[in-house]
Amino acid sequence: MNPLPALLALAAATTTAPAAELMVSAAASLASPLSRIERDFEAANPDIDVVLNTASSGTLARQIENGAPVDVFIPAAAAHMDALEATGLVDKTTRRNIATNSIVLVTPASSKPKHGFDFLGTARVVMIGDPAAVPAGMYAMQVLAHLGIATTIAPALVHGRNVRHVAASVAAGHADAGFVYATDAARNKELRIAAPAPDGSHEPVVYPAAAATNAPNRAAAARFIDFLGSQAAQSTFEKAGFGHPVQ
Amino acid sequence: MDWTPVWISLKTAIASTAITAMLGILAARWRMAKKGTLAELVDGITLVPLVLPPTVIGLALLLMLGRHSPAGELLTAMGMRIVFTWPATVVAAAVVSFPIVYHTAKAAFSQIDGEMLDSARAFGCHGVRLLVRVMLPLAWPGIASGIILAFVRALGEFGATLMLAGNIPGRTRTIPIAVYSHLEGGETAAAVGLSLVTIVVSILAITLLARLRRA
Repeated sequence: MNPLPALLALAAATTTAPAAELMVSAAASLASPLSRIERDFEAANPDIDVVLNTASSGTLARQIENGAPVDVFIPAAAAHMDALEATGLVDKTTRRNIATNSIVLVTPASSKPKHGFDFLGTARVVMIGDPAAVPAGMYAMQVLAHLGIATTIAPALVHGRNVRHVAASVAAGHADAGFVYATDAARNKELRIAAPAPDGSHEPVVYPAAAATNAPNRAAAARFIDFLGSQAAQSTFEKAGFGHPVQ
Repeated sequence: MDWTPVWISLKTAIASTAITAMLGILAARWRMAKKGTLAELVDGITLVPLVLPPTVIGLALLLMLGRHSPAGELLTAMGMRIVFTWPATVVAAAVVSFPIVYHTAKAAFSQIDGEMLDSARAFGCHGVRLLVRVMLPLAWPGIASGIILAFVRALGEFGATLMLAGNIPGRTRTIPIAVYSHLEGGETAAAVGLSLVTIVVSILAITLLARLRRA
């Protein structure tokens, strides 16, 4: 029997149109839930291939400013989104908040447990994200200012590249303590929470999402941002320890 | 505009070069007296920091000197630490620039006319006196270029320094780290200012190098 017609039919059935790329630049703290959301979104939208680019919000904003082909931007602070909105680099009509978080003080699980903030006075190395580029560092400075110890512990402060770097360094014991998000502390067994940030000690941690003005794939960007607000995505954020967004 | 990175970088590069100059010259002198596999092995191992990516060197240093390493636990027991301190910038800079001094000094020493050394020894000049009174002066242009190159390398060290010493404003934020930090934070003018200082210092060093070569 001639196999050619069968082979051609098979080829036609398995050939699909190449998936369009969607570049999502998101804050480092969102890496875990977003990789799950990426899978769910791609399953529901087989014509879109999500490329997840995570780093500190400042780094991502600089990339967009320098012309990186980003479709969706999700920083860990409204300030970074506001800055890009002001220069017309993101479309504010597509902007919506997709999650919230909170700040905690952590110590290495391998060292003696600490409680509260008093021990920071004698800590040799306290790690925070670089406040200029890492929102977690900015929130940490607000907490320190609120507690009135920002100047006293300044000599011990070490700046991390992003909040994941801070979490990893504290977990490895290179730092005596560090400020990370509650979600980072929850997923890292080598971190112990010394204290949650006191109520009102930092501005609310809000993650806004918006499409870039020069997004290569505007239509897909809009679909992805809508998906972030869906039941499925919100449940993924909730399971990872994030809070519900307030618009 | 915060200029402290300039002072930190200079302090680090000077301290690092003082160490690598001394160790590199002594190691090269030792090497001149040896032949065989051990000597060749040392040559090979000392080339490694020159060819490895700085982040890999940083990782190796973290694993060797970090909290949970044998050396790290010894330091912790003595109440000291290296990771995230200023001495760590010197360690990182010295590790990457040592090969430069060692190999340049080795090459410079091997250029010395053997007869000069033989006659010096015939006049009773040995050991340290031979090194300081005869070998160093004869090999000086070559060794000096090695030291200058090591200094410039120490000034520009970024990857290993960032990993071992961290980014501590006013303490370990060297010029390369400060430029990186300023760029991430959108402070381009500050980044450019610091970069210009580095360029000027490097040009001065290379000019000095060229003068020495001509001598």
